[in-house]
Amino acid sequence: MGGSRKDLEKIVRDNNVTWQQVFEGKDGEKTVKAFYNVNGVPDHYLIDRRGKIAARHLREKDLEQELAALFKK
Amino acid sequence: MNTRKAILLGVAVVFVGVVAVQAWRWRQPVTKPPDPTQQAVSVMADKAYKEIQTIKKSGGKPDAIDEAAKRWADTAWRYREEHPKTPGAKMATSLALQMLAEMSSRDELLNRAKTLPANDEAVSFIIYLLYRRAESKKDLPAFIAFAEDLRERRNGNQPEDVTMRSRLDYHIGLAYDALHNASQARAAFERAIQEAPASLWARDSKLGIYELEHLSRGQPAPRFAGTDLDGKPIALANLRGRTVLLDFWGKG
Repeated sequence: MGGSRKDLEKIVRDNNVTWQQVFEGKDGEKTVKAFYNVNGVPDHYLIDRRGKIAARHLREKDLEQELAALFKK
Repeated sequence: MNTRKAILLGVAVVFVGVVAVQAWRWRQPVTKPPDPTQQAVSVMADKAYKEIQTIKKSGGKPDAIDEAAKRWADTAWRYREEHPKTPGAKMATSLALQMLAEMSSRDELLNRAKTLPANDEAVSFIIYLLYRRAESKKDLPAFIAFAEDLRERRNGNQPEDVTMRSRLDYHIGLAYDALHNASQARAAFERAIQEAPASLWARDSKLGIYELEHLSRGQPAPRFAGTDLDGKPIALANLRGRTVLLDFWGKG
C-alpha cells in the first residue's frame, strides 16, 4: 500500500530520472527524512559545498531564488 | 556555473508517509454509503470553489472574490450551525474558514477566532490558516502580534485554554524561526512545551527546537549514507565541494 520500491523504480525509469535516488519506506527513526524533519512532500534542502545547510524546507517557488543566490557566490 | 548541472548531482529520497497513504485511501472507491451531510457539503464546496476559480480566471476584482467568498462562508457556517455534531458540520466548518481565507482582508478570520469558544476546533484551523497566509504574504510580524494577543485573551486554567496557548506558542515559534529570530523562536517553543507537555504542540515544538539546533542555515548538514536504486553507495560526506539539492518526494 502507498508507495513501494517497485513504484519508485517504475517512476524513475518512465521519467528518465538521471540523478541518484534513495528509497525510504514508510517509517523508521534513523531515516534521512527523520534527520531532516521532513513531514511531507515535496520538501527540499540545499547543502552548500562545505557540507553546511544553505536552506531548509524550501518550497518550489523559493528554490530557484536560493539556487541563484548560491551560485553567485 | 550552470545550475541545471548542479541539480543533477542531487539526491532524491523517497518519502512515503502518512500523507501519501491517506491521499491514496481517499482515492479508493467508497464501499459504505456516504453520509448525507458530507455529500451535501461536498456539493456545496464544489460550487464554492468553482465560483471562486471562475472569478479568478476571468481576472475578477478582489471585491468580486470577497463577495463570493463571504457568501459561501456564510452559507457553510449556517450549515454547520444547523447540523451540529454531524460529519458534514466538520467539513462545512473547514469550507467556511477556507472561504474566509480567500478574502483580501484577514479580519474576518481574526474576528472569528476572537469570538469562538476556545475549545472549538475551528479556532485551531483558523490559527493554521492565518499562519499560512502570513507566511505566503510575508506578513509574519502581524501574525505574531495577533497570536500573542489571542494568547493574552485565553489566560484561564481550563484545559482548552492551556492547549490553545500551547498551540499559539508553537505557531509563534514557527513565525520567529521563519524570520530568523532563533532566540524568540526557542522561547516560544519552550513555552509551548511547558504549557502542555503532553500535547501535539509540545511534540511539534520539540521538533522545532531540533530544527533550530541542527538544521539552521550554516549548520553542518546531518550525514547520511545509503545505496541508490542501482545499488551504488551514496554518502553525503563524499559530496563535499558540490552543492547538493535534497529533494524529498513521494507518491501522493
